[in-house]
Amino acid sequence: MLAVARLEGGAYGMSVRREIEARAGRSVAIGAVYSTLERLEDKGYVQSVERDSGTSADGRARRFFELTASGVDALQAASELQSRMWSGLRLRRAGRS
Amino acid sequence: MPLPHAPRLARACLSALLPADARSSLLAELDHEYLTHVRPAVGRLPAHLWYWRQALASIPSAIAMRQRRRRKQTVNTASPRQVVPRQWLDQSVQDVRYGLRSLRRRPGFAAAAIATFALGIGANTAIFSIVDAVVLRPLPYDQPHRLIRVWSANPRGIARNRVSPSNFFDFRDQATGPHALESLAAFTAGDASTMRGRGEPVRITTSMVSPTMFALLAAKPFHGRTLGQSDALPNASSVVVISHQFWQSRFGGAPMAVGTGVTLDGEAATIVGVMPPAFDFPSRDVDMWVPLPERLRSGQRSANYLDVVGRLSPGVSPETAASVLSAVAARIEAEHPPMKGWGVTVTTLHESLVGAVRRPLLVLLAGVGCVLLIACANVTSLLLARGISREREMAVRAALGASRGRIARQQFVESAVIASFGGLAGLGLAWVGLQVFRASASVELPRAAAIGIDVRVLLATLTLTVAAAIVTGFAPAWRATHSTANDSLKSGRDQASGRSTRRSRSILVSVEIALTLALVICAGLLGRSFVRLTHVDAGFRADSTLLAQVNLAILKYEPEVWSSFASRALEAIRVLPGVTVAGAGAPLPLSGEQGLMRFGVRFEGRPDPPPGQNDRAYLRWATPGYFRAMGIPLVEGRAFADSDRADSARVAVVDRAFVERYFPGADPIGQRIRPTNEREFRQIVGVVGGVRPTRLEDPPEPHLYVPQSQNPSASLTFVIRSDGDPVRLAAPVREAIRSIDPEQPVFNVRTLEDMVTGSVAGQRFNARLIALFAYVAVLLMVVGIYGLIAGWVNESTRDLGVRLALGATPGEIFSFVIGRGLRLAAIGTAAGLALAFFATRLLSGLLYGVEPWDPVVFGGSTLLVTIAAVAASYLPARRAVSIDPAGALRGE
Repeated sequence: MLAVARLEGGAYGMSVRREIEARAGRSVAIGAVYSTLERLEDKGYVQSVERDSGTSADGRARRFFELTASGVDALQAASELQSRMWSGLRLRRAGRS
Repeated sequence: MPLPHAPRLARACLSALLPADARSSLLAELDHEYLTHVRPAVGRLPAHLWYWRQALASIPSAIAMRQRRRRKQTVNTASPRQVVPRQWLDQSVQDVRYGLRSLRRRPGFAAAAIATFALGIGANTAIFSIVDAVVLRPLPYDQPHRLIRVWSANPRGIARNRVSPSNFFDFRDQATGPHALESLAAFTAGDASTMRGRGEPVRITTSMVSPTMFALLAAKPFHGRTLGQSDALPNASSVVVISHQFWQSRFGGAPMAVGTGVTLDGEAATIVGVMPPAFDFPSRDVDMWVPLPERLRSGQRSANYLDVVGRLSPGVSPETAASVLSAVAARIEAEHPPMKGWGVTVTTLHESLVGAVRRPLLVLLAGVGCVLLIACANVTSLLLARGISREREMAVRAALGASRGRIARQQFVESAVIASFGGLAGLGLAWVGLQVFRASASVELPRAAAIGIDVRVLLATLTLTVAAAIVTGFAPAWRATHSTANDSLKSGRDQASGRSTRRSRSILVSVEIALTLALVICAGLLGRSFVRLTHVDAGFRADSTLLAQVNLAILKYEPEVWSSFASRALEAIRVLPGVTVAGAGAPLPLSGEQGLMRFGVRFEGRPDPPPGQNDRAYLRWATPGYFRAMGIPLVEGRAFADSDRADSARVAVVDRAFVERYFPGADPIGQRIRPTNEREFRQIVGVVGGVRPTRLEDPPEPHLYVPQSQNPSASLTFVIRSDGDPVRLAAPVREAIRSIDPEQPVFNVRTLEDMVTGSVAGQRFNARLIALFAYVAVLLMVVGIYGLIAGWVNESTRDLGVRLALGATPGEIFSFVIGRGLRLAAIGTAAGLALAFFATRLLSGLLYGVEPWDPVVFGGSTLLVTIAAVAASYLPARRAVSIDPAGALRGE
């Protein structure tokens, strides 16, 4: 979802895959991206629109994804939850005095 | 050039698994990414890997997406027409997941089955890729079925002799036309030449070719032009065409190479063209093609040194062409009496290239096919054994309403899952094996450059995998569907079906034993034949001896100076520390060098033989010291000495085979003879031991040696015997030869032992590979027997316990179990012997000094297989002996 948000309207399967790869530094399968986006759509966090990208080589329309209002809410909630959980926390490794 | 495209197989796999509505957009994005970003960035192979990784890693998600749709569908209810195929696919997906789960539950079973398949499929893939590239695939020329080879057939029944230039030109002029040949071209297989012009002089391989050859093969130049008809005319300026590889290595791939002048064996010539990288006719070794001059037309008709290739006119069969060429040969025969009895042989070009290796390769293919069959038998046996323990599970499924078809399908899907993993691992094994094969390069195979894993090989692997899955899935599926559900549910121990399963497995294991024995016998025969071959007395001593070859045909060397170069170089070599004796000769026996020729021999005081029936002998050159350095024994008289000079009495040395054939019961010393390429007679001064003409398996043939000083040879091999490791002498010997002329190239520096070993590399390769297959087969067989007997002991614990309780001694139990193994072995070996009797006929042409029914090999192999069978039953027998009768009975 963060990748979809970052891509600001330019999010489709392969661009999301590339974004995750670039940001998180790990390789993701295109199938996994599709499957995840589909699940998010089922939950109503993202919505997809078919539109001609103009750059695609075969001229075929692509499915672009963007965040819905409830998707934005969910992201913000997750982010706030994370920062609340982190605040004031200092980590120490176990087994050391 | 075809446009780059995504790996088809990966794309098809992914496409099949994706739900229809997501398919086109996902694949379009993946392809687009592949074509526009990944492939331009990293190149073809890494991009392929990337695509495969993407496709494989997407499979679980594709399945998940499919399932999500199905869940939604239960709400929306699809139309009934769509349900059936979708249900089928979903069930298959379920079966695959179920198969994967049950494999994961039994990692030992999974590993054994997958490893067995990997061995079988991998070995088959590797051998298939070799056979495909060398034998099956059409030649890489335009319309290859129209290409033929033409040979001269001599009156003594040898069908494939080279053709003399004058005969070739007659064939070409009289047999081309729409009724026979479109064109005919001649070439020499490869001559050692020395090129000067850029940097140091180098030894290169040239091929003299008719200019029509390029058009005949439809070969286009990479740069410049090919040779033209006018280049062969008497007053034409000398031109040459070079190979792509030579262009790269010598000219760094610079286009200005075309038009450059070089000096080839002392003659100025101009490079007019570069051939493309794939053009390797007649062999990869050729660096340069030079035109075959028309003036050779007036040469001797008995000088056969050209290879001839032709292109049939459209619609003409090789047989028709052969009869037209025979008519020309008959005309030549009528006009030139010495050609009496000479005819023509025509074969297809493909046959001439691969005819000699076809049989060994097919034998290897048969052997490796055996390994796959054994592997399949083993996996089937494993599946059946596992089937017993799952019988109740199947019965429950049947009772809950699973159809027979569904249960059978699940079995097939499971063996397909195992076979797929095995096939993938096998592909990896094959790839590694081919790398090793290429790196070893000890075997000269025609068209070896084309060997690799490509679409055809992948298809073959896929076919093998599918076949293996079906073959191994059949018996378990049949068994699973034919056991009555009721019985299995009632009986706690699956007794009855266990017995009948065991019978099926016993048959399988007996088949394994039979196949293994046949394979071991074939390996034994080839191995014994190879050992025989290496124990053949080559006629010389190969130890502690170094060879170094030179070709003296450089501008400043005229034939008169060739002999003085040899003696001066030998003087310099003989004073090196560690050298005991040195000489030089050409061509060396078993060296595979060009230039070994058979000449007619004339005897003083005997009438010339009638035309067509020559007394003949192989002609070799030697310097003083050559026979001692080679370890060729002097039987009678003397060897060549420094006193045999160009201006002294002409002398010759002959070998034992020569004396036996031409002077039976007479003293040859002092007799006068001459080879037909010389005018004056020579006096025989000595007799030496015989050597083989070209191969160890050839019988000794008459040889005639002439001294280098009296009839110098341009190509010469120095033979240096040392008192220690001969390799240490390599650098000093090079130095010594260079001290006579710093520009003289020295090549083929190797030990005499290496040369002899190299001459039997092909046979060693065959014997080793078949032996490897036999090892694998024995290993699989032992595993199969062990699995069967151990399973039986497990199931019969109670039975054996009762026997022990009733007073059977451990010895009796032990031999009872071993006896089961022996009984299997007896049935298997009987079938195996019968099988081997037919299989070994395939080998008859490949054996040397061993009969196909060699009793030692047959007996030894049977013994070996029987011992292996007993060894495989040993552990289960030990286990049976250690059964505690009370415990076994209580266990009930």
